[in-house]
Amino acid sequence: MIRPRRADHALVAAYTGRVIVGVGLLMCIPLVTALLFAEWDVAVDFAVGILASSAIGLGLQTLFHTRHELRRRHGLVVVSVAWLVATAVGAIPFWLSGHMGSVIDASFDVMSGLTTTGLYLIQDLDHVSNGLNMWRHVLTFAGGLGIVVIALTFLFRGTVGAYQLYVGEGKDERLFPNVVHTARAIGSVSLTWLAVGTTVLAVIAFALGQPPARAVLHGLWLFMGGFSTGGFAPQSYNTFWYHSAAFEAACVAIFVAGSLNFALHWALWRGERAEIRRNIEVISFAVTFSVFFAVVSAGLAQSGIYPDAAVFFRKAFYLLASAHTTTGFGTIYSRTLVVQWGPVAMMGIIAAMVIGASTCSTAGGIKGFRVGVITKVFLEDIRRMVSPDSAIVTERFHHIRDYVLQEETVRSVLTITIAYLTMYALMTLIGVMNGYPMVEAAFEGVSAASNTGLSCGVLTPAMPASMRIAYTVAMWLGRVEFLSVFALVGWGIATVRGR
Amino acid sequence: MVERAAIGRPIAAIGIEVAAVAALASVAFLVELLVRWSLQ
Amino acid sequence: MYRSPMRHLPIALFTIMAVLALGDSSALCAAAPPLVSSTELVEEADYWDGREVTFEGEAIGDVMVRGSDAWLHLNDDAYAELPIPAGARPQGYNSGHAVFLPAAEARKVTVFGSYRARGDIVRVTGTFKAADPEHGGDMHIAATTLELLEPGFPIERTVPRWKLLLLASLVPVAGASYVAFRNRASALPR
Repeated sequence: MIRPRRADHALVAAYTGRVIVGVGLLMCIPLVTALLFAEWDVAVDFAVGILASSAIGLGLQTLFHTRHELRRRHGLVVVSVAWLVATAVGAIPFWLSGHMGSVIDASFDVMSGLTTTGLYLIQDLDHVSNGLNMWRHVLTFAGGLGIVVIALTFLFRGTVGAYQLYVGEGKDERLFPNVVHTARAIGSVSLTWLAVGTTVLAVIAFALGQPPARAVLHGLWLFMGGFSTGGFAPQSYNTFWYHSAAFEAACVAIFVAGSLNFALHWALWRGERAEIRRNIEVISFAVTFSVFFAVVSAGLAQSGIYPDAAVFFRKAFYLLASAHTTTGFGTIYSRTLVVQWGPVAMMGIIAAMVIGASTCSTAGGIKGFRVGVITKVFLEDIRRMVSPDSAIVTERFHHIRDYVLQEETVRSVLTITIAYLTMYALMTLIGVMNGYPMVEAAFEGVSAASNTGLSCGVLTPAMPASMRIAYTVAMWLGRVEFLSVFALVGWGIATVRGR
Repeated sequence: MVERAAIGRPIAAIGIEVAAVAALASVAFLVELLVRWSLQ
Repeated sequence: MYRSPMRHLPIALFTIMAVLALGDSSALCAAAPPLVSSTELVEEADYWDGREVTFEGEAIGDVMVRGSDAWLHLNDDAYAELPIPAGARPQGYNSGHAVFLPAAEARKVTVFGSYRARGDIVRVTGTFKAADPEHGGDMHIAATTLELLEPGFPIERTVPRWKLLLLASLVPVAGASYVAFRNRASALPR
């Protein structure tokens, strides 16, 4: 164990400072919104936030000025530390707004936004200013794109081991040569979707009877909440507000797109159309979705609340798609899950949240890639059993290119999968220990840890503070796939005990 | 590479993704009908 | 979501009223549908499904007119009296219900709850639908009448003095950081 030197700490502090300045720059968007709508009080909240983040961010960069390059072991620590500091700084306008019950709640909402979870503790959301609503949605959109950049540049390499495969394929074959290319590719895909998605949603919202300005704002916010698979919405009714099949269909298209691997988006942009039906993550998602849809259908058929087949489909498909992509949009009241949908349907939804969608997307959960790889491992073992001893059995999978399944990949896939399952179990335990029924505790705990954001009514501002903090930590761990938090813990231990 | 691909077919890509969602929805609808029929 | 300990009260009152009314059938016809809360409707959806109810709350956001009908959302939470921007303390989530009603009735509402205003408080009567197949399974009250109980009012926000002081004190701090950052950056060549 090598003890990090002063220069290493300085490097982490300096890069954290850059991220904090970035958070301050992002606050300019809600500041402008507040000024446009003459919300002077809100504008002051954001001005305070901007000044505080500039002071902290520039201060850190001045004190720890460095010319060293960022290495991977620093990178993971920066992700963890910057995430926490960004949460604290981002909470300033929330706290100043008067809508939060405590500092814990304000941090919870920022963590929920940045991790694209979508659970919230903000109170009286229906009287929230346009400025603060803009901040909520900008946070979730920026957090979503941020995690994709992080995942594509270094998180994915360590957690899935696929990076070696990209390099192994040959010189020019690497998907994204560096972080600048990665960010630019993500930028073009998501801005195109932003333009198309916001326009479609705003036009529908206007046709549904909303005044023009509100239709545009709601279109933009729901796009941001959907594409980031976050699940924030401007009203407490979430997407139940709109009562429209067309609006729901547009939302599904947007959040499913957000849950696709950006490498897949990029392959489609380059014209590799076959990728959409060959990709291991797409196949995994389609299979698990169909299975869980059968479970939810069985549960709803038992409860009998939607006798009409089309209505049944509209409610069940929307909620399951929202859960499986870890979005968290809903068209029912939270407690309706418990009161009318029942435990079987809820368990189908929980299973979808447990798995989640694609790696290198804005989605959370264990992710389709890992489920696909684990399935391949089972198939490989079965084939080995029925093959002669001399035969060499290999399993292949397709993700942009064809890969041979390697032990190293399997190892990292299993490690992270077990980490997720352990966290889900712990979150459920914490809920049950606090007196909530098993299924409800599992639903809410998995929803937070998989960055989904659906609620069955467990989470409230009145929930014990220990649980609110546990949920905040779970959102953080789930989002950065444990690894960078482990890196931070290792960094801390090495600082104390290393040589 | 990025610059060349950026001129690509973004709208066609969005179309393919939306079509994939529609395909998933039709499979799910068949699953629903099957489950309801078998539970009757 | 908060669960009021009083949530069974209206059911109890309704039962008492119904029993009393049974003695006099003319009173039964005259009895107004029971006043229910949004929490009761969600928690006891099966019980209330298909029943006539009265619901009171603050009109929120906007009214979405669709042809001759409209969607309206009424909140019956603590903030219907005084919203947070108007000075209330945080006291739980919003809670309310969706209402589908004739557009002519919905147009009686002129002020909608937002950051800028406390919306009109209105009373609607109609049939509660736990999962209406006509509206994609949406839970709502299919109201026939709407009555304005209390007009809404605009919320005037002034910036508190302490926030301005905080802002003013941060300006030199951020400025100093910026100057120090510029000096340091130019002192160390890359």
